[in-house]
Amino acid sequence: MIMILPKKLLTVFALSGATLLSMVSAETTPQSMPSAEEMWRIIQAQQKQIDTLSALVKSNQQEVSAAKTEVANARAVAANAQTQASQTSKQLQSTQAQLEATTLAVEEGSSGFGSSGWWERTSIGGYGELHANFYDDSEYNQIDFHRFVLFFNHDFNDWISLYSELEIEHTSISDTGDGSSSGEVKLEQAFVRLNWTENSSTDVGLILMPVGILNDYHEPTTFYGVERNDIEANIIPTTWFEGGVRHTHRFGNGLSFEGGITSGLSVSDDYNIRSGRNDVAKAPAEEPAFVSRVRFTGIAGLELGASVFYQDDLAQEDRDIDFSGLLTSAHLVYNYEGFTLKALYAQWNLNGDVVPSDAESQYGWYIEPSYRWNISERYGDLGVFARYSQMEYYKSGLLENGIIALGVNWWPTNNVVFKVDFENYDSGANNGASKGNESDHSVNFGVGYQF
Amino acid sequence: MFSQPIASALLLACIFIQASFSLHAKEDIYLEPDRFIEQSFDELPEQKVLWLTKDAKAEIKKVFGREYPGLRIRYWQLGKRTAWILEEIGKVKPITTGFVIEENRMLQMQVLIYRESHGWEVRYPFFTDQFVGLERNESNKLNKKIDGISGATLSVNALTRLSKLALFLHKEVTQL
Repeated sequence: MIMILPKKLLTVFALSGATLLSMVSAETTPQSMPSAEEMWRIIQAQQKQIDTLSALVKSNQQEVSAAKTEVANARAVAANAQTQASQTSKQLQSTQAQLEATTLAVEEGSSGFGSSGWWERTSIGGYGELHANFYDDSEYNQIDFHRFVLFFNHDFNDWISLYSELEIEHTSISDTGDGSSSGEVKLEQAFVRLNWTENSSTDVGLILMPVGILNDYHEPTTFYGVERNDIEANIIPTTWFEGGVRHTHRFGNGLSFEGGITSGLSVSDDYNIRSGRNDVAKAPAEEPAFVSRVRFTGIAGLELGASVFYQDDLAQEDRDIDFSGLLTSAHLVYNYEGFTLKALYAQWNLNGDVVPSDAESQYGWYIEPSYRWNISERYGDLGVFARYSQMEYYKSGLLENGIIALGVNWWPTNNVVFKVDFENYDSGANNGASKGNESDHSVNFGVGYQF
Repeated sequence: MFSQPIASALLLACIFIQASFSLHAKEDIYLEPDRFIEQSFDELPEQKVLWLTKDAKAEIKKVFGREYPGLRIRYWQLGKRTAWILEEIGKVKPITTGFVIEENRMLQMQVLIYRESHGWEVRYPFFTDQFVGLERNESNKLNKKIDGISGATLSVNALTRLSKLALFLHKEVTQL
């Protein structure tokens, strides 16, 4: 239409121009007035032109009208399309919302019955370890599923949680009447944690004593050697737990303080610390114990720790003797790439009715360099270690020992470890005590896991 | 429990002092995930979804060591930068972690929610700064070793594996 209109207008202009030219030429030509016939022809010619122009105008008007109708129709179609697009968009949004809800329901395992169940706030974990010990005196060789432990944790709400650890030692317990069964079922941790702020929390219940390296973290995948080191068995009586309250405050620079008031040990007149543990089983609660620890972990790979434990009456069950116990310890863990160095020193000072005086001071220390490297993505990591331990402790007599341990850990995956080590004892594997195992050395094999 | 009045007094004082200054107790949420995303971009990023199809799950398992749960992973993208919020179990509880990656290089790792009883150090810059500049090669190895934290071995392992996963996912969505 846009192309047609100008052509018609040009035609009109051309005809009008021709008429004007003929009129002008008639006026400028010095001729006599036209006759009536000539005037009639001119008028008829003009009438013809007027008719032509009128027809053109009418035609143009019709075309404009048609164009307007077409535009209106197009607008209506566009509006309709827009409405449809809007509806489609709404349907799409609705479908996306349904998809989102369906996906969420599947991901969250929603049963459609409203709030989530307790099981979604409860977690279970555990660890275990099997040991085989072969001494030069084969009479003492043994294989033992030493520990099977399950963790049960539960979040009561967003700031109160339960942490617990239930352990079976030596596979089974049996009612032997004389108590000779070697097995034990022990609750090693069961405390409620109150997270006051993100930096401050209080634990109430059965808690691990904040002392040393191994007492807090004793899963078999976290340490070298089949058996736990002797210092954190005889001087720090790992696993050592008591009933009480512990408060922890952490600073952003990696410094943390812990302080607690707990039940205490009940050491008899053999002055052996380890056998003074009561496992908080109807344990005497005449004397409280105080424990505190400071740790610095503000540099990646480094941990420095020091702790103090004090109990005014360490022989709380024995009315005939009265002595206090002070345990001080310090440790270092440094990890740089594959290399790790662990070192610990711990000492007991007993004061009071301590006879003989040899039992007054009991101490031990060890140093353990190790190196761990990755074999492959499939076969995991391998680590080698060496550890030298020196200790002097009392068990119905002063016992001294220097122990060299060398060994290998293989972690095919981070949560499974196979171990083998060789230990050499200056004064016998059991230090001449109770079992009388005076072997000079042993080869030990172990497997451990955690999940 | 104890005969000494001092023990009881200390215990009560400890609880009272705590209760008095910490009425606004909360879970260990160190940074709300939404806030983490806001902080990670100069402008509002586009939220996208990576659906965990059968093929995607198989690839993720190779990188992550196990299947990543769920049907999809949400992520945010603006230009060449992506941000991810991923979860993995530390010892027994999930650690919610945020990652910001640009051109296959880690710009930031931040622990947003930590629920384990030990290993709180993993949320502090002296630990998380190690992850800046982290890259993953075709053999699924990182370009540097992360120094661990005593007592938080499992949490550190979890964060290291999550880092590999985030770097892998970034590569997948940005090379499309």
